[in-house]
Amino acid sequence: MGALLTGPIRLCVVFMIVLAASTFGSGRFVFADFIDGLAAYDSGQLRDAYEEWLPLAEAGNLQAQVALAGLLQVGGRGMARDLPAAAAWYRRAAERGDPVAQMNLGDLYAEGQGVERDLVQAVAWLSLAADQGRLWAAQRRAALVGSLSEAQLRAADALSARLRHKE
Amino acid sequence: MTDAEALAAYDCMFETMKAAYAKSDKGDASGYSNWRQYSTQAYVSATHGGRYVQNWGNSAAKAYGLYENAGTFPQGAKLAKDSFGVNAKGEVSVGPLFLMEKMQAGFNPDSDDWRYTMVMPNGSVFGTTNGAGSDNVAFCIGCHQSVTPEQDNVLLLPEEYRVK
Repeated sequence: MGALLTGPIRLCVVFMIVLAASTFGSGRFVFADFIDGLAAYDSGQLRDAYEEWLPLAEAGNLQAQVALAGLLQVGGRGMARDLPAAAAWYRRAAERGDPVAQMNLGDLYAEGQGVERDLVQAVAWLSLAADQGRLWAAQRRAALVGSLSEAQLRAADALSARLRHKE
Repeated sequence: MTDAEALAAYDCMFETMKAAYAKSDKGDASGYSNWRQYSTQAYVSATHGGRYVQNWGNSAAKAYGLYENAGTFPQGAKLAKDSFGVNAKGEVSVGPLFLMEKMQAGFNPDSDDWRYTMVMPNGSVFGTTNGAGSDNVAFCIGCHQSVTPEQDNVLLLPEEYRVK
């Protein structure tokens, strides 16, 4: 068979075998696809959505990271809520500049959900999302700022500046 | 859940749902609750994953209240379904907000000029018909085209839950 498969065709076959092998883990083949995950989510198959999005998120797909974080944040039928995991996925996406992830991570810090409550972190992340035009983040930030001391506010500004450079 | 339980659960979840959708940058995700409500209470939607939903429509979509006799909707008609799910333990959680808007003629012949948007409970919008991530919501078109042509892609709620 090897003699029959040459050049690009052989490479393609090898690629397909490697892809299949890499996704054969839970007793069935899973070719992760963001849209399939979204369709599964729409139809209430939250576990299927999770299984579609997880490998994509682990591979660095930003949309999948935010979708997965949202799924873990809310939970639902067949899907337990896992706030620490949600915060971790939001953080990965937030550090890459995703405004929805920044907004939700800031909110988790404000509420102390999945992370220890930290208003400096909350305001810093919300500021980054607000800078990208997220109105909800700006309003949430404004509501929190009054409860911060001058020193905390300076720390939040410094943190958001550092995070902005990391993006 | 019984109807009475669904009614109570929706009342309990309403503010939570609105707060979740408000994280989105889509104005209708915050404004839909000012539209007319066409369902008497939350009911199970088989086409949206067995979640409990309620139906809302803006003034341009007032024909929705005629249900099977609504005809073709005018440009500017907007319909929304907010949703929540219930797990095996009876715990409720916010589901997505489903939006459809009738656009100008020629907007998208494949969807009969409807624009579909799904707003996630964390404020994400991963796609909107003919906009960013349009492919991500293409499955909405296929499902909504399953109704008879006279219904203009609009899925109707069960008769017992309709506002008359």
